Amino acid sequence: MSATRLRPLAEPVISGVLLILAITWVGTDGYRQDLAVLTVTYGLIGLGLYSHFIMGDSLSIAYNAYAAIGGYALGLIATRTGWPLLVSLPLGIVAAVLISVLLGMATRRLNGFYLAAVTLLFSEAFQAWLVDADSVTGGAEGVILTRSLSIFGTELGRDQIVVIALVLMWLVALMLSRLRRSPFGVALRAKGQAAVAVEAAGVPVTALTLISLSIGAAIGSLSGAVFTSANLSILPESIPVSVAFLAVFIPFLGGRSSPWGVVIGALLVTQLTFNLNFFQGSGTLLFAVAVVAVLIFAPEGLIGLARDLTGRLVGAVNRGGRDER
Amino acid sequence: MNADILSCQELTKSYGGVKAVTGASFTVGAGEIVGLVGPNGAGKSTMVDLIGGEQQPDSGQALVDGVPLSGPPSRRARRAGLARTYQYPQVAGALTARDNIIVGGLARGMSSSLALLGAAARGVVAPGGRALREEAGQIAARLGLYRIDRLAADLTLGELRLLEVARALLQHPRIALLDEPFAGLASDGIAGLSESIRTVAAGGTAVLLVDHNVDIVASMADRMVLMAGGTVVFDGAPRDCLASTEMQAVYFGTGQVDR
Amino acid sequence: MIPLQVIVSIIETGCFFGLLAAAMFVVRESSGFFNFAIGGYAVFAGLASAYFTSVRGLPAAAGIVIGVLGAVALALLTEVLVVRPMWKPGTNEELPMVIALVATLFALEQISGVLFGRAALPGPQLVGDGSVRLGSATVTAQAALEVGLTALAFGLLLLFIYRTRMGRGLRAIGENTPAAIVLGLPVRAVRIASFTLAGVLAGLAGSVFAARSGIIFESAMDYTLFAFLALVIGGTASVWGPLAGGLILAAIQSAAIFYFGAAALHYATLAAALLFFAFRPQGIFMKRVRV
Repeated sequence: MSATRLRPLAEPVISGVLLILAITWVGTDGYRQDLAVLTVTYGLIGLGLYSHFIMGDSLSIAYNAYAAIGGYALGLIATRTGWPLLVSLPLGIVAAVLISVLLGMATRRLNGFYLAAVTLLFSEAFQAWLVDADSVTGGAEGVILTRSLSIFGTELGRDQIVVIALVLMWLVALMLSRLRRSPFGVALRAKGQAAVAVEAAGVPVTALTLISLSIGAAIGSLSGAVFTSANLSILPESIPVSVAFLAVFIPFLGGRSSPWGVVIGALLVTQLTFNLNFFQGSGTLLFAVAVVAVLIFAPEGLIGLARDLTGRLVGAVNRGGRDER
Repeated sequence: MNADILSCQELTKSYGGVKAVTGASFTVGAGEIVGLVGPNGAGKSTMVDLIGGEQQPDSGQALVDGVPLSGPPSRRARRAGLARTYQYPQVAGALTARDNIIVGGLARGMSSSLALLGAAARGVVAPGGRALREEAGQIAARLGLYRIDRLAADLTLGELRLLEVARALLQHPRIALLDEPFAGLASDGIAGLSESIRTVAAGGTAVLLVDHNVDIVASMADRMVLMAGGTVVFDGAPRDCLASTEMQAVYFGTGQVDR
Repeated sequence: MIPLQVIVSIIETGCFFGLLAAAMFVVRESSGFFNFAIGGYAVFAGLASAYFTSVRGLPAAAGIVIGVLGAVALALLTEVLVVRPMWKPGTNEELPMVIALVATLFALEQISGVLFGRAALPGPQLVGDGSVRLGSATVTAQAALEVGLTALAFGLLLLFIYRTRMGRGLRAIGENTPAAIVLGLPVRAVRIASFTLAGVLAGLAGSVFAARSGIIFESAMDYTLFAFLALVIGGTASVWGPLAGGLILAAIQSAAIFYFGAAALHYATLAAALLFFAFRPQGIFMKRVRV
């Protein structure tokens, strides 16, 4: 099939066109920019989870911590040092990765909901620490940034930051989609159900898990950096513990078969929760009900639903072939 | 016969005072198919775990090419070229058969933490892995596994066992450890799989075939090792083994029976 | 030394956690999975009872009955709408269903907030302000009620599980559901019974204990989390496991707060969970290892 040969190009081109459309739609409209920033924040957290949970079956959900690290790295370097703010990105990533590796080693014998429970407790402890350690984090008031990211001496405005954020989410989704199909991705996905075989084939499974957790933490840290650089502030409540749950639901809502499902899920969550009073409002109720409904009626998420429908339309043409998850 | 690839020397293992294996010794040469047989409880599974690295022996050792096996399974796979299959197939149902087979070739690029990091970094830039996918396809075709782009969850038990053999082969192993490969297979599945196993051995790989079905093993093994009560009671040609008094004793209940 | 007053409070909190954990336990026993929605039942029951007593002026007992009935209705709805269509026993595909249960928890939390308001409400006061001096500690009538009720609930649970046919069926089915289906055991009926029971237990916990310090819709996730931890700590080998786990968890949290201040609650819970998972993953009541 010639379609197979075109596939590697189709993904970046189609998603790239959609990205440009999205950037144009957002433009300089403040409200749309808010939507975009929230979508990217949720999207990146969901994409982080995608690497180790959806692919590797490790339900580690301490995402408010990773995002907070990325955000506070930006905030603290902006207020406490004269360093260029770009430095905070690698610093945040390194710190988040370190935390995720330590947490991963402490919980390496746990899986499933036991792992989720312990990482959730870590999230709550981290949140408490953010409020507690006011000499470091500014306590409940958080950090107000006095300057913004700058590149080559030019400070970036909100318009540019929103564009960069959207491009960043696109890049991360694209890279994860590639990673998923690579031998590394195969190892990671096989690990979930057949860890014994992966180990016996010569791949050190513990290292594989830790690396997948690190990838997730790094992406989570970027999420916090996007949120903070767009809003120029970060508080403990900016990224509540419950964000971890949203991140778990997002891929199920959008579809687990591809990182793009996370992007679709993040768009939906933002629509539902932002337009109806962010997170306290009944939008969350709608969202939760939507997740339950999608899980019951379309277990492969909206992408799966779309694929199902197109599959039925195309009908007999491709019968018998079932795509891998 | 060729030089020994696998050599088990006085392997002993007990669980909380119950001796599972006591001083078991035997060898498998290059290109040789050795059948390890015995009734349930004879110690076969423990032997598999001791060689595969799921358990550590209390005493004795297993060597591949004269080097003692040590460490977790991943290390044995890399250092000694040990590949294995499982009595209950260990397969990721959500992946295609081909991707499951590829797992066997992964260690080539991901044998350490550093190599894994490199593989991840290469993966995000370009998925790659085409050579592995092609080789997986060739091996599967050679073994007679044709539904290779279906989800593993959709395969029959017979196909899953072929898949595991294919995955083991993609490791390019020095020794293949096949744990109860015939269990649950119908006669045509057995015929197909036996043919595949002969193909593996013909390529120079040492094959240790662990199964309690004595007749099938006897029909294809070069040599048979009979275990009972945790020790090796007979080691020789299949025909001699079937005719031996030990075999009579073990399977027809005069004297030694399994615990 | 921890003052007697703190110990009284530990017993109260422990009873609360114990009831929630028991609700999770009965579903776990009958169906083999964790029903993470139970925190939602408790919050709904607590807010409903508080709303009908403090806002609508109904008597406390009526409020509590409404709360418990509401929780039972929600539990049954969960079984019918989420579990029945999604559950595939004997496969390893329970993840989507359990995720759906977590989403149900969120939905219930939000429904409670929409229906009864997002402000904290005072719980229904079933008993007056009377109290008894016990050495250096004061035991309020409310505390006595909570402990008595918990004892009663566990007593009845014990009778149900060990003395009734359905109770014994419960454990048999939870052990091996595919086999139970083959044997023709009433799997569905038992599961419905266990969800009803979970609704009663969580509803009681939510509405009766709400009088202690009020109730707010956002607590649902913490209720589920603490119930899960209590169950993990206590183990599922015995009916007493959830109660013991609840008391231990309450003791750890209260001691941490007493010695290190309020923020230590989260640190101590995390540390306790890590230690328990590292050294005693099967809970304090070990299940007999089958060969």
